[in-house]
Amino acid sequence: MLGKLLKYEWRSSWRVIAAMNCFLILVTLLGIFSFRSTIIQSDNQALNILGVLTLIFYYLSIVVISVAVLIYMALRFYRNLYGDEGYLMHTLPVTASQHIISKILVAVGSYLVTLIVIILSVFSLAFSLFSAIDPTVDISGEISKGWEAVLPAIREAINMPLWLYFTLFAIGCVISLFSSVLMIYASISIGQMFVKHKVMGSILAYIGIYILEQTVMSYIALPQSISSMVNNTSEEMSLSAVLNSSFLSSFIISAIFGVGFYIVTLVLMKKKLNMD
Amino acid sequence: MENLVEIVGLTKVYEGRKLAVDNMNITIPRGKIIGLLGPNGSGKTTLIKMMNGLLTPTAGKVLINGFEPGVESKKKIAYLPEKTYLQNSMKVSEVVDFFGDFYDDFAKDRAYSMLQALKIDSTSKMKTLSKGTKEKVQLILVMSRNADLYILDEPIAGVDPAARDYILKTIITNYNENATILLSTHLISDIENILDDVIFIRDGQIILCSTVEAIREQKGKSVDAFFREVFAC
Repeated sequence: MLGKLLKYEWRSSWRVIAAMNCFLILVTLLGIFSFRSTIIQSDNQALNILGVLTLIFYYLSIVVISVAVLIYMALRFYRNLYGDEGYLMHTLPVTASQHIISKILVAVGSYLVTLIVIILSVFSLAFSLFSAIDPTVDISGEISKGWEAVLPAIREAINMPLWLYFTLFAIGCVISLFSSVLMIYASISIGQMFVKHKVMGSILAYIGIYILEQTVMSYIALPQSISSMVNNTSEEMSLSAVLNSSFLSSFIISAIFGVGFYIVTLVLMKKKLNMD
Repeated sequence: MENLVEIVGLTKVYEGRKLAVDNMNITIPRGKIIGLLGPNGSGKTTLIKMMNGLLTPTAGKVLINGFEPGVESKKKIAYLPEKTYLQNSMKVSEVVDFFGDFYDDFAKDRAYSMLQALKIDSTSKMKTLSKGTKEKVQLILVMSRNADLYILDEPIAGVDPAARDYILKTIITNYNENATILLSTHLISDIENILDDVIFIRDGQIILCSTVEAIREQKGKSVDAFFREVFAC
């Protein structure tokens, strides 16, 4: 049943996600075109202004799309499970956990796809920008040279193999993403218990949970970083300790909160469903 | 054979509102077409939602085939809510596939023959259909299942009389004799002829549970006339 839910969830969501990503690609192409023409004719005032405006538009587009994907996923969760469509979804012979897992997998997958498109977009824009400024420069060669120059410092700072650091970092980011989406689901599930103003209830629940999570993060992660700084006398050691301990502990806290959000969503959907 | 539905001490109190269902006890047998009749706000829909697991009871329990509302009960109940619950972006044929995917007892050929009889184009998107046509599609989907219990909440309210006749005929011809249909409505005269039993409900309480024949014989009235008398304002 989970496979079937995933299939229909993806079928219902992919068009919107694809449209958002196509928009990003379009804005990137517009940016590349605009920057190149600005740089080639740098004495043209109007083109310079256009270039700055394009840069602002590009930046805003990335911010808006990365938030819009999350908002769309939140709306989809609300409408599909707690709106009128919920009358069908909750009478299908599937469990609450299958509903939540199918939604979260598609949401996180869509977000990761969007994230990859954003990263590629920024790189291709930067690449085209540099090659427009000086077409003779070997950009990839320059990047690898620069990379080699800073690599020893990074190695020293993180105090562990580079591949391990990046793997841990990637896993941590995905965990944080799961946790962020589950936080939205938990808030919506709390909001649907309100007799009236379900959306307002969800937003208030989200703000409340967010403050709680941030408070816990700052109480646990910050003193840990400070103590590791104080306990280590050598300067390099302290930097690596702070880096490692703060990001590891924030990912662990994210994971714990994520499990908590999942349990809250599951219990509320199972025991407190209120389709009125 | 055991009863299909057992409801014991079922109560629902909405927060800050009145008692919607008040300590209700009833058993529903197999093989009957039962009218759940009561004025607006009497608790019909609340009762139906609790049977489907869409609302959590404040107290008491519902058992369907011996199971509390959950995966097992949902396999056996074909439920038609008052709401339009199909995704607007889907085509009619896609919602037919959707039902076929999730319900093992769904008969696609039956669904397509009913769609054809009511001249509904299966390639149309749901959002292009009128409200009445959407209701017909939903009713067709629900009645195309071979369920043990059909729960139809106001199934004929928004449908034109010609289609209403077809749908009622479909209800009678399609269901197997071990299945029960629970039909909630206040348009009693339209469905009176197909009902075996009636349940009258007022202020969240069952005030009468009887066969249609008994009402006609003992009261000398149609169910519609008797309903008007009982619920006279």
